[in-house]
Formats: sequence, structure tokens, C-alpha cells
Amino acid sequence: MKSTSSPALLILVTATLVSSCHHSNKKENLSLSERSKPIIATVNYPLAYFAKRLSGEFADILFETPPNVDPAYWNPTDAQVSAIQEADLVLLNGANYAKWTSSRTIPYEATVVTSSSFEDTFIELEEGTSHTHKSGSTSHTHEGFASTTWLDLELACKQASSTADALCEQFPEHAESISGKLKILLEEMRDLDRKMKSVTASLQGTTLVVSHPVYQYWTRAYGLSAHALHWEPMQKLGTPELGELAAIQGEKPPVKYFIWEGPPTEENINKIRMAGFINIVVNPCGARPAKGDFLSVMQENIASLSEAITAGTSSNTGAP
Amino acid sequence: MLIPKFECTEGQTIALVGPSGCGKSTFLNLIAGILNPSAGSIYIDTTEITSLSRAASAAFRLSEIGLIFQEFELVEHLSVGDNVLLPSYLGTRKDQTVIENRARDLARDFGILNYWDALPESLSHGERQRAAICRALSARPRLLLADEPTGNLDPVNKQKTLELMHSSAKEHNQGLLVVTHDLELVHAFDAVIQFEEINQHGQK
Amino acid sequence: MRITGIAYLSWKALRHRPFRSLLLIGTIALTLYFPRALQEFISRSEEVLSARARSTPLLMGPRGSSIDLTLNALYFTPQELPPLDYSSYETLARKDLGNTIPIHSRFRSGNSPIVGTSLEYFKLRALSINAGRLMTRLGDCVIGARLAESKGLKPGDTITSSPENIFDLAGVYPLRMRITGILSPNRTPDDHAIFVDLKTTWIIEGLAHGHQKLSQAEIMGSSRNSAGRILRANASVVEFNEVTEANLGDFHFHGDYGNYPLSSVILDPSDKKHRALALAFYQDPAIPQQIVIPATAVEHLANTLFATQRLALVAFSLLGIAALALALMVFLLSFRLREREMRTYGKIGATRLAILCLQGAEVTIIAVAATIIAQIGVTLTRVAAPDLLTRLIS
Repeated sequence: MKSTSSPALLILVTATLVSSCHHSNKKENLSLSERSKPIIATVNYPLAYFAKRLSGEFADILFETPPNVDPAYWNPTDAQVSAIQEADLVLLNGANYAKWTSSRTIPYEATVVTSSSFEDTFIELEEGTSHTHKSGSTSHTHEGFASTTWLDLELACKQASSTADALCEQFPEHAESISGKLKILLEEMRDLDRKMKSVTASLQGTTLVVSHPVYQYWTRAYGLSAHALHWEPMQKLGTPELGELAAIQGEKPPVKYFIWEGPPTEENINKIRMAGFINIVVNPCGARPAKGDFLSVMQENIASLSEAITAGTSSNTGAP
Repeated sequence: MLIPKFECTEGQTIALVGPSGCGKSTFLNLIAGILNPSAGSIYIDTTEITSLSRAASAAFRLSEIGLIFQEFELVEHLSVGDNVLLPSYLGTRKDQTVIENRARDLARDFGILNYWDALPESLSHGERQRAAICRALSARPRLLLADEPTGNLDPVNKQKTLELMHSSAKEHNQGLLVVTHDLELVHAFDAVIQFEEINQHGQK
Repeated sequence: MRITGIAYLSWKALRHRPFRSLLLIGTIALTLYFPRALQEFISRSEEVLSARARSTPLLMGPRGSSIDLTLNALYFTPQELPPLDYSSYETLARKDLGNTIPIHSRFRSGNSPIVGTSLEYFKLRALSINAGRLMTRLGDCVIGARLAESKGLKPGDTITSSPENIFDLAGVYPLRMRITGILSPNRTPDDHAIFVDLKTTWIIEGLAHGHQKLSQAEIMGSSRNSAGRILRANASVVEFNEVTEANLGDFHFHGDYGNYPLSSVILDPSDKKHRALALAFYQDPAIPQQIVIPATAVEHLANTLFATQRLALVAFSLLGIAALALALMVFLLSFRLREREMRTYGKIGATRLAILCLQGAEVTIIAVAATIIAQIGVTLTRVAAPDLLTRLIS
């Protein structure tokens, strides 16, 4: 009897172990769905900011792009995509922003494109390569849209409203609080929009040089025109770059302002100044800022524009 | 056939001789209860087997009578051992181990223990008949009835088979009635009876 | 008369003629098995089909046979109906009637269906990942437990889509897919399927593809014309048959998403009102799509199955009677051949009843063995019915 009971006991013990392992595995899978707060994933910082402002404490925001990386060109790892797949809401910017979203698997049902209400006003990019595959297939061009929509603060308001709508639909129990918070946010952003309009009023009719082609919506919204380069604030400016700059300066009317996405090096500031331009930093704020938030960065942009315009005006009046 | 009187006592060996077709086998079947007489009665000890039902007669035969046939009548798909134990399989006795041990002893005495698990087809005629005798003796019957038991055997086996039947009859005080037409072998029997003599007239 | 002795003798007799005994057991077992197995299979199939249909509240697809549409969406049977366009999915999704899950099941890898869908599908079917993780990008796939088991596949391995026919290599893009996860078994067609992002099926369809950037210097150098502005992509532009981290960014879709194909859309309405609205909307014959209630379609299918079952049962009964009559004849002939053996038993002292018991025991042993085997077969059929059904349908 003893000899037969041992294997039976052994089997019982093994089965219990296997079943408990299985159980713990399952628990791991469940851990995300058992989390205390819902998760809202966003593809850029402005949307993360809107989502945080609107949701307050009831949700966690998942925006994993490192501060020094432009979220438009960021590529998440598989693990990061897996985390995004667990989100209750995925907020996209639209206008081809964050191309990774079209090649990665994100939850369709939980995804909201915050710019869909104004997609007919997207700015088309003219850069593109037309090519044909195999005989008989049609030629097509890989073109797209400018995507830094939120620099037009009116569009940013629309995106914030879309975010609020999506949050209300997903979390109807928080609808009232979200609406209240949206009202305050829109007021603050409209105030900034008014300030931006006011500060850029004196730039009407002038052409700016921008270090990157990311200001399309901003220039359109505030009646500006810009000559876009592909320079980095930290890049060493050599003879070819300065030659390019000289050629631009030769245009009529003369171009006075050089807009950087981020603070350039001292050397670059001097070189630009020597070339006859006034340095301005207008941070598009696609990535999470090192300090402050979306509104404070926009406020800083307005301040730095205002300061430069004042400097520009005084140099004009001082000139013979 | 008319047999006014016939007797066989315990331990007595009787050879019943006569030409083929004279009714010897029928007479044996009547004694065994396989056939019923049209008139008269047959007693074995105090049991009148002619008055028994078919089932009772069969049960009596199974326990009290051992039958040995000219054609051996072993069951071809049963091993020698199973053939020897056949009466116990068909009967009601429960002490199977005792019966099997006794049957094995018997098979050893008859020199067929080595073939215990073999099928009858692998045995010689003499060995088959010895197996058949073992089967008849395994239930310890009080009467052994043999119908031409040596008819298919060579002279050496004939002699041996008869010796075995005789020794068992003597040892267990069994009555032995053998039907044969082989006159060379009958001298060992207590009595030799011409079947024609008892037919119509009865045993003297 | 000893029952054990009689049984032993019967057993010995049956063992002596194993071929005859096994033939009898087999014949009787099959005679008993077929009608019972058919009933079990059909009843279990009906249960399984209904359960899967019930877990698929509504189905939107092109107009045509509702059974074809349902079987394609539920069992990934080859697509008989014309494809839906993606814009009809978007139209339905915009109505906010509930969860909408696209299904594109045109392609296969060997015998396994490739199902393009969204992550919602896994939630709807309560499918959990047993090993690895869900797909995270184009060219990724998650495979069913039975498929993984039968092909010995694990996360990190690859599986390639099959061209629809061997001469149509250009039409259907053979794509080598990365397996990112294995699903836990759930005894449904999902166990045999390969799940990919809907967009991955469009790569297989040839609507999206990846190649090196045409503006790359080496290609420009090789094929630019005198003006240097028009590029002709020649053979040096590599068409990928596998999505990798390196070429992921180069995959792009051509044309209007709205025209992209899919097979059907599962709609899980948020409530009864939205369900009614969905049903009402697609009743308009001017709309080229239809809404199907899978449970109703399966009910129709089950009714057809039951009607077929009745016919089959009549046929099986007739065959069964013939087979049993044959078996009886085999027994009678066998007992006649063994008359001498029976006579010996009688001479030794077996009663008529004992001999009848002996013969009866042989018939009983055969019948019991056949019944046990048939019952085991019926039980196995019941257990295997869901898988068998999946194999038969898809």
C-alpha cells in the first residue's frame, strides 16, 4: 500500500506545482488589467499635457519618448508597444505625425486621432519621390502632411477639445470634471493665442529663416512666411551653411530673424548674429520640456519673440 | 438390446469384448446416462441414474463417472492442462487449487506434465490418450468407462494406457469398465465378458 | 456450473481464433459506433458552433450567403464572398454602435488561415497569450496553440504566407512573419489560426510594401536620368519578403485606405438599442453590406445538419441490421463447426444450460468488448468534435 501511495502523492504534488505556476503566470498577465488607474497613451508631449490637464488624477499618462528625442521620429521598442497596447485610450496627433503608429500594432478601437476635425486644413508637403512598382502598376508619390499642428494654438485648442471628447466617451463618469477642466485649459490657450497674434503682428510681411521645417502651421496661423533649413542647434556651422545663409539674406525684402527649435550653442548664436540675423528660440515642444510645461514653453516662445522683435526694431531705428 | 442384468463392483475391472457394431458403446452410454434405456433401470451405487433428469444425470456423470474415448476427444483449443481440468471448469467445485494440484500430480504420473501448457495437437497419440485418461481421473470418479481406449494406439502405448487405467482403478477403488475388441489385452482384467453373452441373457 | 470456469472456457475459445473474434468485435463496434458517433458529433458541433456564434454578436459583411459570411468570420473558411472595403468598416465604426473588429481572412500559410484583425479580437474571444506577447508591428503574428504544437513553433520563429497559386507570386506577397506569441488553447478554430495586424494582410495582398528609399545615393546614381529628377526604381530596389526592425520604417501603403479589402467586421453592440439600430441600418437594400446574426445563421446550418443526420441514421440503421445479422450468422456457423467440442462437454457432464451459457458467454464477451470500444470511440469523437469540426469546415 505504501509503495503505491508514494507515486500518487508525487503526482499530486507535481500537479499542484504545475497548476500554481500556471496560476502565477496568469496573474502576471492580469496585472495590467488589474491596475488601479486607466492609462492614456499619447504620441507627443502636447497631447500628454492636454490629457493630464483634463484627466487630473484619475488616469496615468503613458508618453515614453525620451526628452531629447523628437517624438515625430521616435521608434518604440516592442516592449513599449506592448505597454501602449494595454492603454485604455491612445491619442494620435494625425497628419502623418509619429509614423511608427502606421507600422506598429496599436488598439484600433481605443485610438483617437485628435486632428480629425480639421484634417481638411492639413498642410501638404511638396517633398516626395514618385516611383512605380512593376509593369502596369500606377505611379505614386510618398508625400505627406506637415504635422506640427499644435503650434497653431487654435488647432491646439481643437486637439484639446478632441482629447476631452475622447476622455468623456471612454470615462463618462468623469465627464463633468473633464468639461470643467477643458474650459479652463481652452481659456489659457486662447489667451496665449491672442498674445502670439499680438507679438507676431509686427512680423507680417517679413520672411523668417527657420532651422527646421516644423513651423508650417505656426507661420500659416500667424500670417508669417519662412525659409526652412535642416539645421540642428548644436550642429557646427561651416562655410557651406553660412554661404546658404548669405544667399538667403540677399533676398528682398531682407530676412532678419533666425528661428531655432532649441537653444543653439554660443558659437552658433555668434555666427548667426555675425551673418546679420537675430537669434530666436521657438520651441515646438513636441517632446517633454526639461522644465515647465506646454503652456509655459509657449509663453517663453512668445517672450523670446517679443524680445527679439524689440531688438530688431531698435536696430532698425538705429540704422541710417 | 436387452440386458437383463449387469453388475460391476467397486475396484472391479471388467473388459467387455465383442465385434464392432454389437452395441458395446451404446451399453456404455446407457451406463453413463448419456442415453436412456427404453425400459429398466441402471443404478450406480444407490443412485438410479435412469430416473434422473437430464441435468441431474449430467451433473452425476461429471462428478461420479470418468469417460475415456477411442478418439480421445480433447478440446483442440485448450491446453493439455485445461483439458485435464475441464470437468472442474464445467462443475461446481470451488477448491480449484486443490484440484489443479492433484491434476498436475496425475499428469506427472502419466508423464505429460511437460506438455501441461501445450495444445493437444503437439502431442503423440499415446500422450493424447494419457491426457484424456488424466481428464477422466481428475474429478476422482467412482466409475471409469472407457470405449475402445487403445483403438488408435500402437502396442507399446496400448499396454501402457491399460496399465495406467488399472493402477488408478486399484488405487482409488474405482470400478473400471472397458469396451474393447483387442483380445490380447484383456487378460489383465478381473472379468472378461462377451457382450453377446450378456445381451438378451444378462450377466451370469 | 462455475461462472468463472465457463467464462474462462469462452475466453479461451475466443482467443484461439483471434482474427475471427477481432473481426466480430470490430464489426459490431463499428455498427454501434457510427450512429452514436454521428449523433454525438452533430450535437457537439451544434453546441460548439452555437457557442462561437453567440460570442460573435453581429457580423457585417458583403451581401450574399449569411452562412458563408458567418463561417468565414467564425471558422476562417476560404472566402466565398467578395471583399468588403475598409471604408465600410470606418463607416460602421463611426456610428459608435459598439466595438467593431475587422476580419480579413483571405490568406493562408499551408492549411492555417492568416487572420488580419485588431487587438480587440483577442478581448472578444477571451484569448490569452500563453508564451511571448501580442504582435507589435507589421509582419508580426500570434499563432494558435494547436498550430504551434503541431509545427513545433515558438515565439521568435517565423512562418511564411502561401501564395494563392504558385504562378501568382506577384499577386500575393509571400511574407515571412515573425511569431511573437502563442495563444492558450481554447478548443476553437483560433487554435489553428495565425493572427496578424489587419495591415499585415494588406502587405500580403500587395497593397503595402517596403523598399529602400529611392533617394538613397547609390540608387540615384544608378538610374537617374540626365535631369536627375525622375528616378526609375530598377532591380536594385529590393522588395522585402520580411519585415524587420531595419526596414520597418520603409514599409508604406499605396492608394486610399478606404478601398483596402477585408472580409467582414464583427460588431459587438454596446446595448440592445445600438444592436437594433445596426440591424435596422443595414436593412436598406441600397446599402451594399448586410448585417448577419451569426447565431441565426448557425441555427440554419444546424437544422440542415440535423436533417442530414436523420437520413444518415436511417442508412446506418439498415447497415447495422445487416452487420448484426452477419455477425449472428458467423456465431451460428462457428457453433456448428464446434458441435463435436460441445458434444464432448455434454459427454463429460456439462448440462445443456452450461453449454448454452458457454456459447452465450462468447457472444457476451464479443458484445461487451464491442460496446466498450464503441463507447470509447463515441467519447473520443465527442472530445475531438470541436477540432474535427474546425478541420472539416476550414
